[in-house]
Amino acid sequence: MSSVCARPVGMGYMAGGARSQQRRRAARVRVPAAAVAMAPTARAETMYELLGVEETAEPEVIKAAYRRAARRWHPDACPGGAERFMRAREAYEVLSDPERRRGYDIQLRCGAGGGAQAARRAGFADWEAQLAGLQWRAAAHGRHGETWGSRMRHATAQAQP
Amino acid sequence: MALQASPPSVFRAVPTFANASCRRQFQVQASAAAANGGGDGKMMWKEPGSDSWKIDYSGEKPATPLLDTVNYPKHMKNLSTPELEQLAAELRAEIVHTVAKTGGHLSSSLGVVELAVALHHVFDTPEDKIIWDVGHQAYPHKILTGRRSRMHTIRQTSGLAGFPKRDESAHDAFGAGHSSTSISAALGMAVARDLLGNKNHVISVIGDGAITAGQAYEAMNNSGFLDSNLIIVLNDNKQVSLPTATLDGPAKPVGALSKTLTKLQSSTKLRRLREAAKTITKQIGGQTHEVAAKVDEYARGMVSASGSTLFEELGLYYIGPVDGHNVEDLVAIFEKVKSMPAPGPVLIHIVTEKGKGYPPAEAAADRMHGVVKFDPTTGKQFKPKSSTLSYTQYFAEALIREAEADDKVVGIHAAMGGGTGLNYFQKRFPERCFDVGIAEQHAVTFAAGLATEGLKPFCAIYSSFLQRGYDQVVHDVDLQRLPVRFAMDRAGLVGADGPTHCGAFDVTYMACLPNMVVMAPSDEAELMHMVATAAAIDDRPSCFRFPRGNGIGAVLPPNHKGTPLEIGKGRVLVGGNRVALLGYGTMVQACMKAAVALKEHGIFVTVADARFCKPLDTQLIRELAAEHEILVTVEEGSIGGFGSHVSHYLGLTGLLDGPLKLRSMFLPDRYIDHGAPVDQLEEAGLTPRHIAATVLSLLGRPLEALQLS
Repeated sequence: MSSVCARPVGMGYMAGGARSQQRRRAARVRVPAAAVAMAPTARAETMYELLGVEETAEPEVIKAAYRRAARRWHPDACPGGAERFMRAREAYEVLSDPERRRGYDIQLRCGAGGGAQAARRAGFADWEAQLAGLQWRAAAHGRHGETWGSRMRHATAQAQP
Repeated sequence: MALQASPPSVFRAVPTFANASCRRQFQVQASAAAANGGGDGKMMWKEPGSDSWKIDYSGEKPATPLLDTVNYPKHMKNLSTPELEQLAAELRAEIVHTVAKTGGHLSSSLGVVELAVALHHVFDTPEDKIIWDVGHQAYPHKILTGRRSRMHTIRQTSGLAGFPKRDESAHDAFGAGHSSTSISAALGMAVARDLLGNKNHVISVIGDGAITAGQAYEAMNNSGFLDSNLIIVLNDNKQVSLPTATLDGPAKPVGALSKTLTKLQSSTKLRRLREAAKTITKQIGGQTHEVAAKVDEYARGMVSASGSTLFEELGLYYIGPVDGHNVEDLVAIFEKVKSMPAPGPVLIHIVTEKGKGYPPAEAAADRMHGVVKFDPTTGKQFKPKSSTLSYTQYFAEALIREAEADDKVVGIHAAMGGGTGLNYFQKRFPERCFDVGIAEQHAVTFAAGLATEGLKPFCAIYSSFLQRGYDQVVHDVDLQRLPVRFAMDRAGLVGADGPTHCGAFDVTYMACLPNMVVMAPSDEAELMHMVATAAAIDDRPSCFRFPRGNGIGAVLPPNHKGTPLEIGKGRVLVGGNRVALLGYGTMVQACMKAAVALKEHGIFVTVADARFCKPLDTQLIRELAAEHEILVTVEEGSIGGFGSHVSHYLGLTGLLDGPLKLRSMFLPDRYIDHGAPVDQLEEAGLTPRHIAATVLSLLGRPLEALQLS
């Protein structure tokens, strides 16, 4: 394992990735109940639960549920309900767009828990992992000089002692 | 409005956002005075518990204390993420209130506010190069690069250009106006940087519509091959076509490419596969990164069958999709890519919403893409009332009538349904209107293919955009003598859009083609007749040009259906003696006004409307030459157009050997800057006053020429 962590550039990056990988791996491997109970909330509610619809709900049902939630929690009608209103709005935006809904469903099924939520908004990609992949590719291909760009980069690096 | 920059201590004393109980006390204060006036003074505030800012658009422009401190990108370098978000909100308010007073492109600029803030925070223009494709979304870029104080002059005479312009600022790396040129230009700058041994970064920002054009693929293909360091930001607002494309809003994506983009946005499963592959290589352990990269490549190869790695097949590293309105994410990604020594070409796919942050734009069907002056509170535009419609609408009307009479008539346009009027045609004949996307070259050859099978295609492409498909016009249409009809809108000077959209050259480049019939109407009734004429010409290609603007109120033919004109025959409008004005196109109107002005000086000129540049009405020209001393040709086109054809004809037939004085008036041999149409015509020297002055000078009365008003 030490050779993987030896690269200075990606150090903090890989370490961060490893940690979040571990967290994710832990979630998939039945975390003991005690550990779960220690977490402040049992489990973040899914967007479907937020709106009170089934996961297989039709778009009209979702729209009606959103309208209900919006009327209920709109800051004009319910002072202090702004946060729930915004969450309902976000849930509606994701669930009403078929592509984002599909992405969100996949995320749910793959067990993306509260930990990964920070890095990713519903339906979007994990760009941190993609950037890590870019670093790997750059490191692996850097020396070969097969492309014009790599030759020029090499020449520039040589020219500057 | 007194803008007082707050002293740093006041600003730092504002409580942080993390403390929810402070949210009522949080206020954006320009100064103590401003905070006390106007109720509790809140025009812009951060929504409690979420990351988004709310801006109140009713009333005056809100105070923008943070934006006031930013004149150039270097002033943004030390801002934290919450401050950048606040800056973005202030920029939005600034853009809405500015465009409300000047008109221009609104929603595309609103969609890239966060992107512009992130780019300028991370990169250092003018050393780093940011190239905005098309450029109508560059308003936030202009505000952040030292032109905020002049934004109220945008798109006006002697003011800022509506698109990036190299002459205007060193921060504008490349001029734009037509679409899909940014990646090519960026690659050129990147390669030059490599050859010169420089270290700057090159970023191009291109939209999902512009990337459907062929040139974008040519550029991406070349970037992948050369492997030079380059960042391409794909700004995807899921419009693909302009939201003005049809009468009901944006067109459904016009091609297979957009399906690819959609799949990219949702193929989380596929990315998980690659990420899993990376985990596996780490667990193998003790291995070099070559193995990891190879595994990654195989994993990507596995998923390429599903079509989500179109960009990767071209050799670009794909990152995304990313929320394009999240400043924190954008800054993190740009910083990371900037710090890598050898990333090669990277494509960052961001998802934005056109018109984001301004509710009337988000709600409108056309998203308020291009607007005239409007009221910021409601978004209602102050469209000037005119008694006549635009030439575009008369054209659309006439084409619909032709299509009703003949079911072989079809319409083709290149992602400009609203601009060419074919959105009306599409509503009426949905199966006979073809939007090919931003692909003028394909549109022309596609029309040629339709014509070979006996259909009657009408290609409605702006005069300046048809330049992109010129080889197809020559090689595919004219050489084979195929009956494709070209309706060239926006011919001549176009006003606020400037020289990038100016249709100066179409008479020249069409009339030099051996088989083309070239005509131009002098008013909207003539336009309808020319649509009918073009529909009737079935043995050779034909074209007609008409300008931006409204009709003059001519009497329209019954039921708006024109009758075909006799080809190669012009008409005389007003009879006179000694002097003849031979106008081509809507310049005939200017000639008529000049004739009225000259009457007061006792000169009665003949005004003729040539109608056709090819074939020329030679009989009319011979008669005018025989009966007049002076012949002046007038057109709103460049050198080499109508005037040239007339002078060549006169020369060939020996009519220039006699007493005839010939003068040609056309657009000068330079680019006319953007501005009000009257100002542009004034600078070009094609107003009625100029025509009358030319006549008076030729008659030996120069003093009166100078005294004309």
